Amino acid sequence: MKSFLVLAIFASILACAQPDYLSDDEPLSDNAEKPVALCPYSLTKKKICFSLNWNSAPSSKESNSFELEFSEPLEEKLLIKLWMPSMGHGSAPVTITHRDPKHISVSNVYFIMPGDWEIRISTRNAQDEIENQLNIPFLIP
Amino acid sequence: MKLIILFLLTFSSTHSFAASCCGGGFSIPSLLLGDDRSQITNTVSIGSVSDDVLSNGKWLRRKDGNSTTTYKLEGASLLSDKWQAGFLIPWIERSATGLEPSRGVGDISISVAHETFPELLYSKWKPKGVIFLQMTAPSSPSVYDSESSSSLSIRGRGFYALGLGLALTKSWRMFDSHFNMDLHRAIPREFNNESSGGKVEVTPGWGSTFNFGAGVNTERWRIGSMISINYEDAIRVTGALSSEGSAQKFYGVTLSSSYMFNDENSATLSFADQSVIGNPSNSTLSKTISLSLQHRWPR
Repeated sequence: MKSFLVLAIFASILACAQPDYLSDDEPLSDNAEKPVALCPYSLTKKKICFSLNWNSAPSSKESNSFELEFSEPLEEKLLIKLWMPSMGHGSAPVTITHRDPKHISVSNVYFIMPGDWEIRISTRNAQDEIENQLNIPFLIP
Repeated sequence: MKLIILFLLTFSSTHSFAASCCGGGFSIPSLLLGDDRSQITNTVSIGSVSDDVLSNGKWLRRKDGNSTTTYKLEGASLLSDKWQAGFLIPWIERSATGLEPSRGVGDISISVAHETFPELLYSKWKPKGVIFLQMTAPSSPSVYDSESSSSLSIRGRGFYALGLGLALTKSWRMFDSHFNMDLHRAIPREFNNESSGGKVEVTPGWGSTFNFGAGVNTERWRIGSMISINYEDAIRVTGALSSEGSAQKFYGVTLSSSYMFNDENSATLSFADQSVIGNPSNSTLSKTISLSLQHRWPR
């Protein structure tokens, strides 16, 4: 009987979980409200602006794709990685297709679980050194 | 004696069900806490992730039809009067709506334990217990090895891990209680694949598990419950990609019912839910139902 009392007291201290569910209105990223004309993202060393537009709302349940539109032609090699910073792991490599010098399509974007992800975009110079890196956070349901 | 045997079956078959995002956590080994020479336990568990909790405490409902069926074979045997050794081999099958299912061996564990707190004379308060050392090996694909587009192929954590723990039991007539805890740490590893953009060093931190349980016993039945508290340090990544990570916390409640067929054979049915207590953080939360069958060989 004593053990039950101790357990009951301990359980009451722990208390029931109080789930704080994300609302459907929660924005996907910090830049969700910025108009494209105000340069939502930039590769600072090159001073090139670009926008990132999803072809459909991203989800962990299916393959995703998005378009990158640059303000000027991009000459350097572009690298795009998916990363989940809280868990410390990435996902399958994406497929990058150069439509024209200012437009890149990114497909086969798989988020292996829901949560807070980053799309890490970087450029490398001719010596294969990283010149710019930008981490764009997204909340993926 | 029978009460303790029923209790031990429940104790050994309920583990800290993994709430690590990717491939399992560190579980308490199978231990001989009664007067048996050896035991073997077969467990089948069916679990489903119900929620994901972000590092800021926000919850996301998981609705992808995911299911994980785990078949566990575990055993323990005396090496001497006070020393024992054990093993755990899981076989994991994972599925989700619209995705190709995956199956294979999970991370294998071996352990040794010492009966540091024997019950030589009756005491109202002094528990009986063991101290154990467990090693888990990365015998299955982890999130760092896989470049798959889904997490189904991930069945392990990807690291060698060592854990030191304590397991205590005490019974009073028809009531019993138990407490066990462990402190573990995984060994950092280097990985090199395209998803990380090159070579990365992944450094896990410390982790710990605390389980508290109690039960009521009749001649052949035991009804019990257990609360578990789990913590894992942030995983730090350096190299081609870097991040500091976030710590994980998750809690669980387990309800169980055990039946003793005879002195050598018992069964336990249990249900565990990680979404009902505590304030979890940076974790996936599961609901799991398990059935264990145990055979023991007396001394």
